[in-house]
Amino acid sequence: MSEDFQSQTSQPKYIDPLEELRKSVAVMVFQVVSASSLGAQRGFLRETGESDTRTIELISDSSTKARQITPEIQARLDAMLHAACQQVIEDGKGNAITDQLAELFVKDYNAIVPVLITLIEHGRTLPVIKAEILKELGRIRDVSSHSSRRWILEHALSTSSPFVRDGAGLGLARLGDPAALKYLEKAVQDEPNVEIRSDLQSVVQELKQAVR
Amino acid sequence: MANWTLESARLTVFLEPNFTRFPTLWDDVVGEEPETSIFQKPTAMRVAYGPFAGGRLQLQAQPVRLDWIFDAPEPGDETGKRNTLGAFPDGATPLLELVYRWAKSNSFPETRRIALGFTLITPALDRLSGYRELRNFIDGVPANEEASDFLYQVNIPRKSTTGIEGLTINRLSKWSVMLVRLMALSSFGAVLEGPENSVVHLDLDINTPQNFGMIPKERIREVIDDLLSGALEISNSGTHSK
Repeated sequence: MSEDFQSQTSQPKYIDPLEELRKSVAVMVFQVVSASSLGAQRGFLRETGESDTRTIELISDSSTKARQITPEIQARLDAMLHAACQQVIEDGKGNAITDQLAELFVKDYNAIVPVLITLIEHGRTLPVIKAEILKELGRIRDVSSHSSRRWILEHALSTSSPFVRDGAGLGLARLGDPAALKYLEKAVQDEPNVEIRSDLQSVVQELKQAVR
Repeated sequence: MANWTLESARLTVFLEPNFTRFPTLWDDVVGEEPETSIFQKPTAMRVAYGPFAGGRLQLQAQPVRLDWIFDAPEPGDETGKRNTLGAFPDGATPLLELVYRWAKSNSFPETRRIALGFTLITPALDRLSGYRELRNFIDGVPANEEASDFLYQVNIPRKSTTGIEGLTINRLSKWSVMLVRLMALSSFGAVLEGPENSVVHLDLDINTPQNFGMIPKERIREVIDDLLSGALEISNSGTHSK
């Protein structure tokens, strides 16, 4: 069985007036498809080569090539963080992160994951913003990026900021994946803050119940 | 069967969230200090590189993954031909030996996903003869002589031959014909130099799937051998449906 099939050829000399529109539609279709199942591909437009054609490049889940974040996604991420810093972040209330992170993340999660990890570990962003990002990562519903999001959340359980550790616990609760139990149980053992330890313990119990 | 030449080889190991970095990983595995080390803060990436077995070895360490990349020395000679690491698969032997040594050591991390990547080329007279060569390996190569920019990518997964339960191997390959020409950079800008060379280009990304469980540490070498077999299957026989 073949997966992640992509074939592309350009036939020069022929200019179709509807070409640009069709390509935009194709990209949208690929993006919708990408959110639906494992082994799917994500599409984006890239300017290329020899015959000045614009091509649709597919990012497939079976690819392990390291990807760099595009300037466009980086700029949108920066804008999202800037907007969030101007807002009051409260549970149950929408903000720039709840509005925009899912779309940005799903677009090219392989490229965005290292940037988010650095932001959460070393960035000067407010801890409350970092925690909000983690909570939102747990809420995104996208099968392809599930294990990457779980990875970030598990990793964040051992950061030095209590806000961030709490956000990671809530994110894992929302993600609802018992595969995270190993890291959560370790986090309960190591957690110095009584309140956070109790919250993490609740997440462990919830996930254990889900397994039964 | 094409005579593939190796341009670069890569081994990627995906890390667990609790991975503890080995600050001396390069020294421990290669046996000497790297020529250069860099830390790129925006992506938390540590890069070390140096000369290795007639080429250039690079270790890229990110929180999520470790990549060992073995490249031909840049940029190529005045005939416009790019340097290579020699015939495939023999050209990859120095990297594979290094990886086998690493797999036996304590510094090899717990992992759920491993990948071997190879960039292979074989010379072609021109674009059209390159497309004729591609027909030996893949379906759908255009017959139209005006056609250009043909690119074909497909993943043909198969069961792992290691016997590890549930393990499959992704065999992702990307095929094209490329026009290669040296570009000289100076303070006046970039200038194309030397003759143009056409090559059939094959990018192989052979890997274990994203959502598999932990790969047993004592079986890492078997898995790497299985990945190499996957690369040989595709580079020898292509992806035609049988």
